[in-house]
Order: sequence, then C-alpha cells, then structure tokens
Amino acid sequence: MTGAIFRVMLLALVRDRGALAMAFIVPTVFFLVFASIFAASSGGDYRPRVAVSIAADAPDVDAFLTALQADDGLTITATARDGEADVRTAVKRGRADVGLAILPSETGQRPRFTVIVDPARDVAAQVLRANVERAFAMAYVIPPSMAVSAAGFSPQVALETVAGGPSGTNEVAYSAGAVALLFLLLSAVHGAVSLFDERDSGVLERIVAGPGGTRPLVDGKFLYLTVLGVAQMAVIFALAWLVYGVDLPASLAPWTVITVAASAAAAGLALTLTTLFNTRQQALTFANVTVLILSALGGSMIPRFLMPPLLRQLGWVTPNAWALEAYTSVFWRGDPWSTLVLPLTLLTAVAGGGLLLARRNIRRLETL
Amino acid sequence: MQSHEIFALLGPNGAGKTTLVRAITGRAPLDEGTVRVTSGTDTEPGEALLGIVPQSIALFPHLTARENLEVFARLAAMPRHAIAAAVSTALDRVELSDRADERTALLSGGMQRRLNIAAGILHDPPLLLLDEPTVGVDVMAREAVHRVLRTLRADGMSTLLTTHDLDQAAALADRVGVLSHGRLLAADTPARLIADAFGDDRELVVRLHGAPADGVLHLLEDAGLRPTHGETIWSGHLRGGLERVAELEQSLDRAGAHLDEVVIREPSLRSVFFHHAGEDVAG
Repeated sequence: MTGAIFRVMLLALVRDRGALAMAFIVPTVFFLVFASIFAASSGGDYRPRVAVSIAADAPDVDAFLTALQADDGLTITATARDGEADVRTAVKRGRADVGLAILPSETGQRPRFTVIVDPARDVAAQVLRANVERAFAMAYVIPPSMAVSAAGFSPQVALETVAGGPSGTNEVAYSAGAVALLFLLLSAVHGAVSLFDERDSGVLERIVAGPGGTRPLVDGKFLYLTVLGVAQMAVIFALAWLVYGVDLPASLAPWTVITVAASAAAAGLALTLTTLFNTRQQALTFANVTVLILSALGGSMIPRFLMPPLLRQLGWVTPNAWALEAYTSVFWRGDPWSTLVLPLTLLTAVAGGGLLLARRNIRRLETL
Repeated sequence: MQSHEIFALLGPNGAGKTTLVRAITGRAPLDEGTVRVTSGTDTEPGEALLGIVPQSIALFPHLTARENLEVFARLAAMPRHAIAAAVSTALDRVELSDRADERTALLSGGMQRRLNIAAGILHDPPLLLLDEPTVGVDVMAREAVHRVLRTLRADGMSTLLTTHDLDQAAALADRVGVLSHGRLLAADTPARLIADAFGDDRELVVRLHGAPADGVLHLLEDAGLRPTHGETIWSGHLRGGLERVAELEQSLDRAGAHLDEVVIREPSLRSVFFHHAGEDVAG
C-alpha cells in the first residue's frame, strides 16, 4: 500500500512537467542565489564603502591614505577636502557604509580621526577602525616589527553616529520592515493561489458568465490582500513601537503611505506570479521561491550593505529594497517627504502593473 | 431553446456536452464561429441572459447560504437595493429559506445542490444552464432538485440540462437532444423521439432456460434480438407490435426453446439513447 501511494505521488510529479521543473530547477537557482549572498556576507569578504574627508588644516596624510587605499578590506568611494558634511550625508543616505573625517590633531604632526557611522552599520565602523589603526601604523614611522598598539602610536579615533533614534531602535525599525515585508509577500502569495480553488470549484465559471466578468474577482482579491498586508505590517510595527521604542506615532503618516504602497505591490506581484501558471502546485512553488529570492536580494534576510556589490545592485530591482529604503528614510534619517517619491512610485507601479497583468492572465485560467 | 422548457442534452462521455456548455458560457475557445445568446423576451441592455449551475458545488463553503447568494448577487452586478429580495426569492424557490443562515459546508449534499442552483437564478435569467445537477445525491435529494426545476419552469425559466441520467431526462425534460461526437443526432420531445426511432416496435427481453439450439438461435437472430447476458438472455426491438411477439413465442416453442420469461416493454428514452449513441456507449 505504501508503494502504491508512493507511485501515485511519483507519477503526479513526473506527469506535471511544470511541477517537475519547479522541484529541481528552482531549488538549484535558489541555492545559487542564497549561497552567493551568505558566502559573501559571512565569509569575511565584507568590504565597506568608505567616504573620506580631509580637513584643510590636517597634516600631510598622503602616506596614510596610500596605506588605507592599499588595504583590500575597504573600498574608498570618495575623498574630498573639507567635505565632512558631504561624508555625513553620504553615510546618512546610504551611499557610503561608513565615513572617515581626517582632522588636525593637537600635536600637529599626526592627524586624528572621526569615524562617522550609521548605527545600523556598526560592523562597517569596526572594520574601518581596524584598518585606520593599521594604516596609521604603516604611515607614521612604526617599523613593521613593532606592535601596532604601542603606546603613543595609537591613532586618536572618535566615533560619531548619524541618523536614527535612540540606541537600538534603528536596527529594530529595519528588522521590523524587513521581516514584515517577507511575510507580507508570502502571505499575499498564499492568498492569491485561492484563485485556483475558485476555478476548480466552478465559482470562476459562474463569475465569467456574469456581467462583471472576472475583473471583480481579481480586484477583490487585490483589495483584500492589500488590506491584510497593511494590518500585518501594523501589528509588527506596533510591537516594535511598544516593545522596542521605535517612534511609530511620530512617523505615522509616511508609514501609512509606505505600508499601503508596499502591501499593494505585494498583492499585485503575488496575483501576477500566481496567474502565470496552470496549477496551484506550480504557482505556489514558483511564487514562494521568487518571494524568498526577492526578499534575500532586497535585504529582508540580511542587510544589503553586507552583500557583494553585484548583489547589492541587483537588490534595487526588488520591492523589498524600495520599501526598506522608504522605511529607512522615515525612521532613521528623518528625511523629507520628497525622498519617498521614488520608492513610492516604484511600489505603486508594481502594484498597478501587477493588477493589470493578473486581470489579463486570469482570462487564460478561464479556459483551462 | 424554447421558453418555459427543460431541454435535456444526453450523450455518452466525450460526446461534447460539457464542451457545448463551456462554449456557450465563453469558457471554451472556438475554432470558428461565434456563440450568441439572445432572448425572445424583452431584456434590458447588459442584462445577464444566462444563469450557470456548474457540476461542482461552486459556492464558498465558509459562508452561510444567504451570504453566498449575496456575494453572487453582487458579482452579477445586481443593484444593492434589489439584492435582499432576490436572495429571499432564490432561497424560497430552492426551498432553503429555513437554512439560510447555516454555513454551506454544514448543509447536506442535496441542500448544497439546491443552493448551487439558487446562485444561478438570483438574477432571474431567461436561460439556466445546468451541468449534471444531481451527481452524488440520494433519491430524496434528487427529487427535491427535480421539484425545484419544475417550479422554475413554471415560473417561465428555460433550462438546458446536461445529464447522464436517462431517468432524470425522462422525468423532467420537455425536449431531449442526443449528442454524439459533437453532433446533435436527434432533438425532440421524448414521445416523438421514441416514435421516430421505433414506431410501434416493442422492446423484448427473452430469458431462456439454458443455451439455445441452432434452430432457436436462428429464430432469435431473425427477430432482431441480440444476446445481452451470455446465451440465455436476448433482447432487442421487435417490429410488428404485440401480434408479432405472440408469433415469435409460438415459433420458439415449436423449435423446442425452454422460455423462463418473456418481457415486453414500451421503448423508452433509454432505448432512444442507445439507438442513437449505442456504438459510442459500447465503445
């Protein structure tokens, strides 16, 4: 009997070529993407992007900069004279992971340093600090045989944080958005596949014959998934506010706009992905894996700044990244509303495009 | 289709019954031609002419009977102010008013079947398409469905019914069509179909006590009978009315046949069905 059921399951898989492909090709792609992300972010390959400012009255720092640039552990994205404010902005906006302001010291011979860091990227500050100490030692006469930390030769390094609220709340705000977006997408997919239940039960057939056609069915699901998504996000952010002190009330209006746009985008994307396929099994497998990959690339699993440059760039094509960028802008940087225009436009485009595609795709389901 | 009629579409599996219904409802892509549904009665522009009752229970199981009908009324673009009355009327017509607030999943199979019909008649369409409306229900529930369909006919609704159930077609249909390989082989009232196919022939079943001798076998074959159960039961349509039956019985007796039983039946819709679609059914 066990063998009979095994045979039934095996034949069901073998005869559904779509499901067969999903069972073997999709996990392979999934593995490759995740392996790239996690290997790069946890294997010691993290190279923070550093913006450097040199004060006009700082001592000669050429040797120090040469030593710093020679270090494989950093990527120096910009070096500017008297550009401390620009460095601060670059870090705040996420264009650099960490900033370094080179300043004159009291002795006048060797510079002192300020590491400018977004609290959420503390790891970048730690990497930079270690590299500054090493470069300082190489640049300012310490023989290689001497210990870097020898008294009197250690650099003066101060730490300055930009953006964000009280300690810890930034990370919580980020993870609230990141986790909520992942589950928002998964939940939207599981809601969208109910279209197959309606097709199989004959509800779709009945609706097709009505004057409204299938449009109300798709639009109704889109609306439901959007409202459900907003409710899910609200619960998670409320928890972040009540338990961790993330200042949700102060940013309620922009949060609402972002959350509605993100939920609508998730609904549109889920409905489109679902209606591309002929069976529930195919749709669910593909959509789930797509959501996991988008979430990984978009920073819902690990912050994008920890990813290699290529994946970091790829992340920009995911709704997760746009929504997280918008939340970050609101909760960390206190940016004006205008900075939300681009992410909100992209999210709205995904929502609207997804809805239109799903309306078109469902016509194919009607005839299956 | 004529108004106030139930038209039963009969055909073996694969004859094209469901495909025809799907074509009418726009779910089957057409190789050529168009399907146009029109009504002889005055209808408002945009009014839905079709009511659909799929073979499966096309309802939301977690909603109550009333909630289901309200949803389908809204999907049928009924004006909000008319929905409550339409739902009540539909529940009355399918005899489910007293179960209106029970969850659909908890209703019996027969009640679900009737609610399935109610969802198709909410907007009082001139034409109702029913696909196998009594699959999987017991005799009592089947009778209740038949009662509902007769009520709808009396109210002026026409019904196109696809069914495998020949007894159901005989009991309900004003006209019957026999479909095979996508072609309508015959369509008329059951009485005319029977008369056209068999005239005054009778359906005869002869049960023999043991295998027939050669002489008996030739007599049975010459009379147009065929073995239907081994060599002891022979059946077919005998031309010439009751007199011919008596002649055959005497001939068989003279040839030494031992007859256990001779049954004479009026040809039925079942006979018509097998007459037209017999090869498909056998195949």
